[in-house]
This record gives sequence, C-alpha cells and structure tokens, in this order.
Amino acid sequence: MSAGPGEEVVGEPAAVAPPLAAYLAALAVYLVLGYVFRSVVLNWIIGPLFLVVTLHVLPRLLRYRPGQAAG
Amino acid sequence: MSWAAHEFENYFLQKHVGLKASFLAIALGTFGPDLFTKAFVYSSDDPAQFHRGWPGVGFTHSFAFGVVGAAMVLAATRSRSWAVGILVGQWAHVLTDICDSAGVMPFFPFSTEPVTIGMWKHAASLGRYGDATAYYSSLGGVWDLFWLLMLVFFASRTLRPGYFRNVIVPADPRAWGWLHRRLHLPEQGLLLLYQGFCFYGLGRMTAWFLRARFADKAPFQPVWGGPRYVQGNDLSDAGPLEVVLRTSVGGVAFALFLVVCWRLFLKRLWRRGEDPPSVTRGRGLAAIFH
Repeated sequence: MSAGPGEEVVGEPAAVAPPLAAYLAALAVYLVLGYVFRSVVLNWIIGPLFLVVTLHVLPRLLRYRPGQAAG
Repeated sequence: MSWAAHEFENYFLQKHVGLKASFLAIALGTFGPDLFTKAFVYSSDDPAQFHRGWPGVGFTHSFAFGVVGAAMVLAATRSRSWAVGILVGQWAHVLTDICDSAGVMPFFPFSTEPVTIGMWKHAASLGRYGDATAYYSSLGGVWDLFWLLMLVFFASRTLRPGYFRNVIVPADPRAWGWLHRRLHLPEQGLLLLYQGFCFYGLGRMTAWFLRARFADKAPFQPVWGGPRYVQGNDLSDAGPLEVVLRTSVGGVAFALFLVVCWRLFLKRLWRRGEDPPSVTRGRGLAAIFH
C-alpha cells in the first residue's frame, strides 16, 4: 500500500447510493436465503459482503459485454 | 455473547471517533475476540468456560488483549488510525459481552474473575444454531434491537454517502485506496462494502429471530437471565462483593500496567506512528474522540 491512494477514491464522481428500494429488495432476498440456508448465508464472510455483491458486482456482471470492454 | 449488536456498535463508535480511527479497524477489532476462537467454542466440552474463562481463550475478551493487538498493529503499520480502531472496537466487544451469563475477564491477567450482569444466558453449549435460537429468544435479541435503534436515532448520518466520502475514506485512505485498486471497486462499491456491516447486522438479527420463532418454535422469553429453557452456566460462584473487590484490584493493576507499557514502549510507538493528512489529534482522550 502506497501513501496517498485515497485521493483516487475521493477524487471520483459523487457516490450515488442505490435507491432505497434496492436495499430493501437485497434485504428481502438475504432474509429468505438466510432463513433457508442459514449456515451458508448468515456467516461473517458472506453476510457483510452480500450488499456489495447483490447491488454492485452482480449488476455489473449482468451488464458486462466483452465487446464493450475492448472498445 | 452478543450478535448483531457488535455490527451496529461500529457505526455508533465511528460517530464518536470521526476521522481519528479507521472504520475497517473498528470492525476488525469488534470481530477480534471471536475471530479465531468461535469455531472451536461450539466443539469444546465446556463452551462457556473455553470461550470466556481461564484456562480457555477467555483472555481474548480482555482489555489487555486489545492493547496488545493495537500495539502490534501500530508497530507493524505505523498507522495510528488502525491502532485506535482496533483498540476501540475490541474494548467495545469486551464491554458488550459483560451482559451474558458467562461474562468476561476485563482485567485479565490481573484478575480472572468473570464480570457479568447476567442479562441473558450464554448458550454456546446448545451448538451454533441452538445458541442463535436461545439468543434471539432472550433479552439478547432486545439488546441487538437497542443498538439498532441507537444507530438509527443517533448515528444514522454515518451511513450516508457524504459521511463515507468526507470522514470514512479520509480517516483511512490507504486501506480504502487499496480496496479500490485491488477489487476494482468504484466509490459506490466501497460505500456498499462499508454499509454492508450494518446490513449484515440487520439481516442476521431478523433472520435468526424469524427462525427462532417459526422454524425452531422456541419460546420468546425476554426476561432477565432468560431464556429459561437454557441451563445456567455462570463461570464463578463468587458473590457480588467478591467480584467487585477482585475486579477492582485487577483494574488498578491493569492501569499500572498500562502506565508502565506507555512509558517503556507504547509512547515511542505512538510518536513513530503516522496519521492521514486530514487528521489532527489533541492530547489525552482528544487523541481518540472528536
């Protein structure tokens, strides 16, 4: 880790949090999965990462087109 | 033990330390006491004794463990924000776990007397799932709800994007910058990672509570010392006065230990440490709280 990389983060366009409905939907999915697959979902690793995976990583993967990345 | 309260506390603490501690370090500090031991607790012969007692790994739930962890982090990284975060998070965990019947040894090794207010029963003897069900059938679940309400009413601004940008990242630019580069996460992704601990607390609190009511059909007994269907597991038969006396002696010895450590090497480590450019520390408690 080198000094000053925080500037890269702070200097980006304003963070736009997903709409409240997206958070509520993620929570509903988490509750259903947690209720059914408790040991898989309700743990210290999956739990804190669930929000970023469902609201950021998955939507990005679904939008991803290899041709666009090259262009 | 407490469950989701440990996640909600992080944001409440963050509000009070502001730029002076790394949120990621606070989160790690709060996980710290259970991080390497919890997996073994449920398979031990005497879970409460193993988890909180001595002999056992109860020393992880002591203030000295937090001091050692923070000093090691300060020596290795020179980051004061990380050292303060680890210390504050770990100490918060210790104080929170005083509420269950097994208690903690806050001044270990100067006192091995467990300190507890017995608000709910330590139920690790029932296994991982039984423990969760018992916790959310007792005042433990109410304790989680209390910390959620504390977060909502007094520290909800810590969850906002502006707070993340203006306080969380500047307090620890190296770690967030590293996550940004290595995981290719833009600011929104980092924000969700930050908010994820609160989400996890809310999610697991609700899911375990629903499971306790509808899947396990456990009786909801939010009374002092509940739930009643769990056997008592106090680690000490000492009376209240005895506990106060031993703990007071341990506390004084721990304070002296801290002074000696500060003069011998902690002061030097602290002076050698570095702060992010936006952080200004005062003296005494103003070095930690804003």
